Amino acid sequence: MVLSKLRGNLLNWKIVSLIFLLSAFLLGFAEYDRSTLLGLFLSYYQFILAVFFLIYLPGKFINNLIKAKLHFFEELFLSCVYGILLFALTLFTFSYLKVEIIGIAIIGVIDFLVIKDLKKPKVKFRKIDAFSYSAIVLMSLIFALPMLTSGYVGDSLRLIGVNNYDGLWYLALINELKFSFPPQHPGFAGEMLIGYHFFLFFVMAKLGNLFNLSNIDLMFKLFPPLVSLLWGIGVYVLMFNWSKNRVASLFAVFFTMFGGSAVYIAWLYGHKNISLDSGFGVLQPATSLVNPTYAISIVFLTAFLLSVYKYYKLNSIRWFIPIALIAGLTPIFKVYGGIIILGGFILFVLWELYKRNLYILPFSLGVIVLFFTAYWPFTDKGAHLIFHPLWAPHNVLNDNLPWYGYEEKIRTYSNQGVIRGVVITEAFSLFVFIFGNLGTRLIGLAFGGFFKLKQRKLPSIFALLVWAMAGASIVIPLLFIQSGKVFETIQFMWYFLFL
Amino acid sequence: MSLFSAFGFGYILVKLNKFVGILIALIVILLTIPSAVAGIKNYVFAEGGYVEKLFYDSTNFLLSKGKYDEIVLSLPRKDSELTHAALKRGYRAGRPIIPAIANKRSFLSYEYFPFEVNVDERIDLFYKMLLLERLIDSENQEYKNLLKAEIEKRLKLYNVNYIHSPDPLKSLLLFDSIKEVYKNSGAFIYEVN
Repeated sequence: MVLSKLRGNLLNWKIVSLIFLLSAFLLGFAEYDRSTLLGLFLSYYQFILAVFFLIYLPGKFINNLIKAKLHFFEELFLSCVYGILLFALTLFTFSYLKVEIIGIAIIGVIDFLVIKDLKKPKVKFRKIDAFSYSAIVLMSLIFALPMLTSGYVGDSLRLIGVNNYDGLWYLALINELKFSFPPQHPGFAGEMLIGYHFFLFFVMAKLGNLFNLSNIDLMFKLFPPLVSLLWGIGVYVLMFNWSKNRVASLFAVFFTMFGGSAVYIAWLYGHKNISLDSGFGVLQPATSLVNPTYAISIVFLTAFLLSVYKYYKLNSIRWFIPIALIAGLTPIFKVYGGIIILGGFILFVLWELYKRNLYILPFSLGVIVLFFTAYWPFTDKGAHLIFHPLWAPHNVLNDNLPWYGYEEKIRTYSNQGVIRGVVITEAFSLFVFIFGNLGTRLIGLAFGGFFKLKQRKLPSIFALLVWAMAGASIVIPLLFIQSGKVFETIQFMWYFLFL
Repeated sequence: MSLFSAFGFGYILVKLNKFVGILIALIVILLTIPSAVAGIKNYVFAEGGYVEKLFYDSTNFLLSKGKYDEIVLSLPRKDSELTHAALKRGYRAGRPIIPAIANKRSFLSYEYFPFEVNVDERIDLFYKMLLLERLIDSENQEYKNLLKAEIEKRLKLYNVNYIHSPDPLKSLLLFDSIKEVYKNSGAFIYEVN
């Protein structure tokens, strides 16, 4: 009897998964060459278990808390996002107090509470879903290629493109955050690190510490496929909820990952020296993962929108919990994404207050507390936006389309007082910057607008919220530049292209 | 605008003739892909990108020594233009490769964001170390001693543990507290005690 009970327990998948976790943890102590294929395979094994126990299960805890009834992929996506945030927040709090072990213990208790009631997931796959998700996995893998091609190659280290510059900075941050918190500046020993949104690297560092994963693997082999899959699945489930249309949802994944500008038109006119992926001043999304903080902020933005959508559909104030968590913590993962999400959150709060839903107030306070405890202490107080209207479109014309003669035209029209000429030239610069960068997305926008107008239906409050966030993400780079690195505000345009 | 645009393509395939819809969708995909391919192929079909072997070997040596909180001072080439301005330009053209792959903090590595710290003071230490190296064969012993004392004081002040240099530095052998611990034909590492 005891034996059969023991056998039953051993076959219990919860216990089996715990044994796997233990094996992954112990593997961290093993000495093996991580630059070999076997080493990489073992790192994936450890990473998958780390994500399941330290990210997915804590995220599922939040989903359980808010009694979310979700389909498998919705649940997978939201649990992973909420889990990243909860893991980061817990470890951040206790790392500050120099008792990180308590944070890990809390995550352990959360895991236990979730596992206790965990049922085998029911995945119902229709053929059409299988096609959709296969397409998403394929697109995600291609999307992750710019990162996957860097890393260990035999006994060498290969860092391609931006990874050989920005990638080094990210690796340095992971090293620093593995060792100390609050972090010092890794390239200026002895000074505290401020002015940088480092939370993603904090999460990588903590997972790396717990499972002894190499920074190079975390940065180039492990996180990129995870973020890429979350991006693909997140956009699909958000759009499927919103549009109820599989084609639209798949096109959304395609455009958010591989959308392109209209630079090829300049190529057709013989201007082949313009870059196809950034010729109109904004880098198109295909290589987004080389900027991991931007990529994770897109995942958070998607989760924010999906959570808000769920709230509007279900009208349950429990959804305020994850909404506030995302809004409060995104700035320390990526400040530009944080600004867009916080802007959206403020509109969301104002609408709730207009509806006299005062339950939103404590959650707003929570966002303020998160913002000022997690983000504010690490801000560079000297950094600010400078009002400089149309700097970006002017630069695109001057640097990338010099044959247009923008400067000369403006100077001549201004000297001669030809206002119409100035207006036409400025309109052209705006046209190139906005519509040129939108590229083929314009076709969908035109058809979408046409059919929506034909329906004669007012847009939903959710659609208005997304439009407002998109509006903010284009107005900021059109009107402002950033102190220090003037062109950085162009990154807001990436959110515009996404939304 | 990708999300909003996707709505439009959803409508195209639902509301228009299926053949026309698919044709439009295919044309759009074909027109969209070139910019994505242009971006991704730079990474997939790139040649090179390897961290220089001799440098990489030297970082592996550092990786095997001590802990992360040890500080590495990474010097430019000893025949660099010896002015503060030129050294600063060199610093700004650099990358944080030591803290990235040698698992050590760096005395001074350029990063990409505005950061209000006194870089000039640290550049000045580079200047003095390279100056001493150039004066090593000169007979001005008094000045060399002054420089040596100043360098020693500053290395202590900044808690520098290692000096990494692309060239062998004879001047460092003047210091009792500094010894060469690693060398290959492209990188030399000195330990500061």
